[in-house]
Order: sequence, then C-alpha cells, then structure tokens
Amino acid sequence: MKKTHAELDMDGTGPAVLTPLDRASQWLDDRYNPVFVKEVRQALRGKQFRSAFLFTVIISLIVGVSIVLGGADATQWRPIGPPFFVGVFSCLTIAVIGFVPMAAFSSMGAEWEENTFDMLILSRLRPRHIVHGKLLGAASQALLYFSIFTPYIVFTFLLGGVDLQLVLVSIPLLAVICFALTAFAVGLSSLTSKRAARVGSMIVLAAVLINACFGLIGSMAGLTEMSIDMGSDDTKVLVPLIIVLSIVVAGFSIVIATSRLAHFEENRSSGLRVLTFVSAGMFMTWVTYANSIIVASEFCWLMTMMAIAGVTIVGIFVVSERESMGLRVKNQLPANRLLRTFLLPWLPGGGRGALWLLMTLFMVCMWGAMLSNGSPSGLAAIFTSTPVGVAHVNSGVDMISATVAYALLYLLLPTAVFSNRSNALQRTTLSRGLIPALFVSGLIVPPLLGFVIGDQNLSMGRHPGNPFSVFERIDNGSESGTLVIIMGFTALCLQFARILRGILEVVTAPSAGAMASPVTGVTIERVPSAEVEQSSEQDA
Amino acid sequence: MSTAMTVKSITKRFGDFVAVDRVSFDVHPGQVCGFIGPNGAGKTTTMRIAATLDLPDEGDVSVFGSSVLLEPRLVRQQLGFMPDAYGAYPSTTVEEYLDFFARAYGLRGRERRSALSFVSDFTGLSRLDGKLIDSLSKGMKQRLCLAKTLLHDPGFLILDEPAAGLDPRARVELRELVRALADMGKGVLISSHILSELSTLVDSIAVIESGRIQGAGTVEEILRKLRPHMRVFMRCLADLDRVERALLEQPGVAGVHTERNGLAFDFDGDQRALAELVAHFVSVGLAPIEFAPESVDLEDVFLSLTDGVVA
Repeated sequence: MKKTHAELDMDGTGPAVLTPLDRASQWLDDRYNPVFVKEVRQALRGKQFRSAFLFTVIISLIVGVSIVLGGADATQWRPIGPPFFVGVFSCLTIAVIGFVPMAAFSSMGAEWEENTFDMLILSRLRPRHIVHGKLLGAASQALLYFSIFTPYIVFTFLLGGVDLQLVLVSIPLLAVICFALTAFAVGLSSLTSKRAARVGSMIVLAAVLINACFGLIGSMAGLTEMSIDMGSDDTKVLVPLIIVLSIVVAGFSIVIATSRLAHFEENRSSGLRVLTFVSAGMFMTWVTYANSIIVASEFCWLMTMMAIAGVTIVGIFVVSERESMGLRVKNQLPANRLLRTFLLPWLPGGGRGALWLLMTLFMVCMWGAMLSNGSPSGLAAIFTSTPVGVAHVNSGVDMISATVAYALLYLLLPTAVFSNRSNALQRTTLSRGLIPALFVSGLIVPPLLGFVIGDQNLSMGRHPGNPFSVFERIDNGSESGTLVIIMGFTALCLQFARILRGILEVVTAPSAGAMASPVTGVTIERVPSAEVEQSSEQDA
Repeated sequence: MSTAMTVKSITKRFGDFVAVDRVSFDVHPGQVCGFIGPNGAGKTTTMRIAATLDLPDEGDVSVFGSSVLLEPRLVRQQLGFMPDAYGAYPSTTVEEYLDFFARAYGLRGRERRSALSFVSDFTGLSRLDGKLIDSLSKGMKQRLCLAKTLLHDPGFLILDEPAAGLDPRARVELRELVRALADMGKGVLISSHILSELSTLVDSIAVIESGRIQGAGTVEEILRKLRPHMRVFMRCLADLDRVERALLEQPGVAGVHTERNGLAFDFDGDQRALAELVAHFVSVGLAPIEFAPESVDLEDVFLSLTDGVVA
C-alpha cells in the first residue's frame, strides 16, 4: 500500500509549486495538535459555540446600550466607566468561565459517549496530546471571546472612573482563571465514562463555574466601587496567590486527565508525583514571597502545614498504589543504574510512593522551618525540638513536625498493613478508603469511648487522635506532640520492607532496557520512541 | 511461512470469570482468518488484547514479531483495528474525519494527502468528502471506519463485526474490500455472525466458545477432522433392497440407511472414487436418478464445533 501511496503522489496529487510562505504555512499545519484542529473545526461548525457566541455578543450589546442610555438620562453627569466595565466584564466572564469550560467538559465527554478513545489511543496520539488538544481548542474559543470584549473593557478607562491598573490586571487574571477552570472541566470529565456519574460531575462543574462567575464579577464590582489600590500589599499577595493556585489546579487537572486516559499498565503515576513536588515548591515560593511583604512566622508555619496537607491528599493515591511496576513501564527503564536510582521516587509503585512522600515532605518542612525563623536555625529546631530562643518559632516547628507525623501515620499505617503485593485492585481501593476512615475514626471513636468510660479529656476531644486539639495545645505551649511523632515514626518503620522492595524492583530489573516476552521468550530490544518516529518517517 | 499475528495461549479473567482461556492461533500475511463464536464467547476480548487495548493475564500476542505486552507502540504502527462500536464525531465531514486520523497517525504533507486520496478512492468515499458523517448510511459509515483503519497502511487488520447491520449490497461490497486488502498482502482477522458471508471470504477460521478455541485452521482441515467420511444421498429407480445390497458390496461404503425414498451412506473415498461408484451403478442397471454428496459449509462446521454454550 505504501507503494500505492507513492504512486498516487507521483500522479501529482500534491501542489505543483510552493512559495516559501506556503511551505511555512504547510510546515505549521503539519505540526498542529490533531485534536486541536478537530476541536476548532467541530466548534466552528457546531451549534453550541455559535449559539453561545451570538448570545454573549447580543447580551453585551444590550447591557452596553442600557448603561449608556441610563447615564444619558441622569440629570447630573457621572462617569459611566465603572458600570460599563462591570457589565462588559460580566459578559466576558460568563462566556470564558461559564461556556468555555462547559464546552470542554462536553467535548471530553463526547469522546467517552462516542467510544472514540480507543481509536485515538491506537494512533500516535498520547493521552497528553488528547488533553492538550482539548485545552487548546477551548483556548481558541476563549481567544475569540477575549478578542471581541477586550477592546471594550479597555475602552471603559476612557469613560472615566475605572483604574487602568484594574483593567490591566483583570483581563490576564480572567484568562488564567479561565485556563484553570477549563483544565478542571477536562479533568473532571475524564474521571468517569458512566453516564450517571457524568451527570453528577456536570452538576459539580456547574456549581463551581457559577460560584466562580459570581465571585469574580462581585470582586470586580467591589474593586471598581472601592477604588482599591492595585499596588497595595494585599493585592501584591493575593494576585500571585490566585495565579499560583490557578496553575496548580490546571496542572493537577491535566495530570489527572492524562493519567485517566493512559493504559492501566502504563505509567500513570510519575506525572502526578512530579507535579505535586513542583506545586509544593511553587506554593512555598509564594509563601516566601508573601512573607517578605507580611513578615509573620505564624503565616509561614500555617502555610507550611497547608502544603503538607496538600501533599498528604495526593499521597493517598501515590502511597496506596500496587507495589510492582507494569511490564510496559519496566520495559522503559533506563539502562543506566545511577539514573534509575535517581528516578526511584518518581516511578510508579506504593513503596516508591512512600519514598516520594518522605522526599516531598522533607522539602516542604525544610523550607517551612527556615521561613518560620527567617534563618536556617529553624531547620535545627525541627530535628531537635530544642528551644531556639523564640517561643513562637518553637511552636511553629512543633506544629510542622506534628503535621508531618500525622501525614505519615495516616498514609503509611494502612498501606503497610494492606500492602498491595498481589496487584489486586480491591486492596488498593481498600487501603485508599482506610486512610480517610482512620482519620475520621481517630476523631470520633475516642470521644465516644470517653463518654462510655467517663473520661472527660477523651470526651472533650483532647486526645492524640484529634489533630486539631493537639495543634491547639502545641500552640498553647502545653504539648510538643511527642506521642504523635512517635506514632508517625512507627508507621514509617512499618513501611521499611515495602520501600526496600520498591527499590530492589527497580535496581534488579533487566538492564539495557531489554525484556523478554513472558510467553514467547523473545527478547525485544527497546526502541526509543524518537527512533520509532524517525524510522516511520523514513518509511514514509 | 512467517506469521502476521501469533496469539499464544492468552488468558483473560474479569474477577472469577474467565473470558478467554488459553487461546492460541496464527494468521499469515495475505490471509483472511474468520474468528467465529457465539455472543460472549470471547471474540472481542481476544481482539482487544491483540489490538493492545487490553492486557492478557497470561500469554502474549505478537504482531509481525512485536509483543503487545512489551511493545504496544510498535504493534500499533503495524496494526489497524476496526471496533464493533463505531465512533463518529458530530459536526464533522468525511474529509475532516479522515484528515484528523491521518494527522493522529503522524502523517504529514504530501504523505497525508496521498494517504487520504488512496483510502477515499479505495473505499469509494471520494464523492462524499464534504458530507457530514451524521448523514451517512450505516454501510458508508463502515466504509469510513475501514478507511480510517487503513490510513497508516497497517500490515495487519482486525475487523470486529464489520458487517453487522449492513444491507446485503453493503455486505458484498465490504467483503470485496476485505478480499482486496488480503490480496495486497495484508493479514486480516475478521469476526462476524454472518457465516454465509465469511465462508466465501476466509482462508482459515478460528472457532471460539466459552473463551476456548474449539478449532483453528483452514476450513478443509477442520472439515477433515470433523467428518472423515463423506455423506452421500442416492435415489435409484431400482428396488431399494437391491440398491442397498449393491451399496454394501462396494468398498468404502458404510452406514447405509433409508432416507426420503432413497438411501444415505458414508463414503470413505475421494471425488474420483465417488464418480466410479456412480458409473458402476449405472452399468449394473440400478438407474440412479439422484446422487448428491452432502455439502458442508461454515455453518455446519460451526455447529459441529460449538455446543451453543454462552459464557
């Protein structure tokens, strides 16, 4: 058939003479993400986008005319910039935060409903290409809305009463939030193929989008009325936080969607691990930046505890993974043992997940401890828990230590007990369910027991199973959380064998990236994907 | 002869249910292999494993030497899979649909254009380029799906129930397309419930029931195994008793019994021996007026091999 293709080519099906511009445009055309091309074509021909676009434009026109006419009716002149800004901004917000993410959700869902994922997976497209294509398609729709509305929003400055800084900050901020919510919609849509569950997801998404729309429109209305200085400390802290959180939400949504679309035997874990590590780093960078403006050690350790909580939530999925790697992942391991050792915490597997958890928590704790004291002496305190001279630093370090101990206890204890060596999905689900169950029962069971045996401390929730009570006592200086730290350390010790197995699996896997088929016994030399692509290009 | 696809003792379980149980068979390049079995027999599961979409719990499948377990990407480059549930995109024309998949398979520039032109011509879709997929008939949609499957020029094709729901004309056209693909040297594994369609198309078959292969090989090989004797019906003008006696005197004749005013019997011999038998009966004045070796088709083979058990 290749010959036939060539013959057809010889017949002159291709263009005869190409100008450099044609060549450049063809080169570019060949390199577009195919899913992006499809999405744009479908959107432009589909009723959904055309109706939404027309609807938004008409509504914004009505709103704009109403505001201008309302201003003309007034007996005394007043700047109509603020209401015009809020009106047009609201229309744009509804379009890019309401319609665009919902369209992305439907588009992803259509792949499930039309049963087209299998066909995409069989092509050269990787799950990431599919997700990126969906996002690019949504971005092109958003771009159309922005290109229509942005001139009008900027124009409101000329109408008076609107701070130019507000205009300049609000549009990029809206774009970032639009990107995050679209990625969230794609991630949510990828979670399930079942129709009933998809309806539930759609309701959740609709609730999120409506809240985001109202929240953003309300904030902008408030900002235009109050004439808040965009250069204030609050704005300097909040705007980067919104950007960081948007990037983190988008990143996680993309990784979740990519993992969901990947084959069970393929690597669905490394992306999540890397992203969580990077996100924790980004968040701590923002904490460092915010601390340079706010300068409060309480803020630092509180934010560090939040970062630990975030890592712990991701840890539920990472630590409870089945222990062994899939055949396809094993076959992609690098031959270099040093590189393999470096990759250990990032590779799939529950034991290696525990290693990743320790590494990520260590990075966050070190950063938090340094910030809490404004110097590396905080680092020493986290290990020794010895007084460093300042009471609040001690309590902050103790708080961080106790939070880490709880994270280790709740994540590592159930997964050590229900270690998934058998690769059974039920055991993974069981240990994932047990982690929150252990946390909740730690909160509820001791008070009930306290009522039964008449122990007031227990019944009032003053026990190590209640982290909030422990944190409160640490803050009061009445406890240092030693018991919790011991419990966390014990859970860590129970994971030792699992971590060791995880390390050995990677270290002892067949070298040089070559594996033999378990049945045919044929050794298949691993071909780097770049080489595969190159060879097929040559074939063509 | 090298194989296009080798299925080697694959087993697939869903919980306690064994969907595919140690299934093995080969398909050669240029050969059409019919994969036959009742509903729930394990056909689609086997095909999905071969297409790298599912993994076997045991065993392996290799396509032109590449393992689906270890090298799914290499397998996918050499394999075209046409699933039973066809997925179309709304608000998309035939041309856009094929162009999308050509891009998805990494085809660029002239290569993409020539591939699109070839598959459109081959499947007869050229005149429908600008038509929306939603407006196509079922037969045309199947052609479109086949065209999509052929875009990257795979050496091996897996077609899962491609004729399901097609009218007789569309079925014949599809059969001709599949035959033409095999003539190009491509290996084809095709499943279908319409055995009469398959019988004129396939070079070999694999019959599966309750997840197990009941028989695999060429139709003749399986027939020979199933029925070593030819079944013949004969009616003569002469008296039945005389004819029966005469029959029993002949070598290779057994199991003579009365049937529809004539006699049926098993004959152990080839076509020439059968012709000599007729000539003998004419020469001895038995006056045979009907002589019919029983024809055995794919349906008979299928019914003989399977018990009608649904897994």
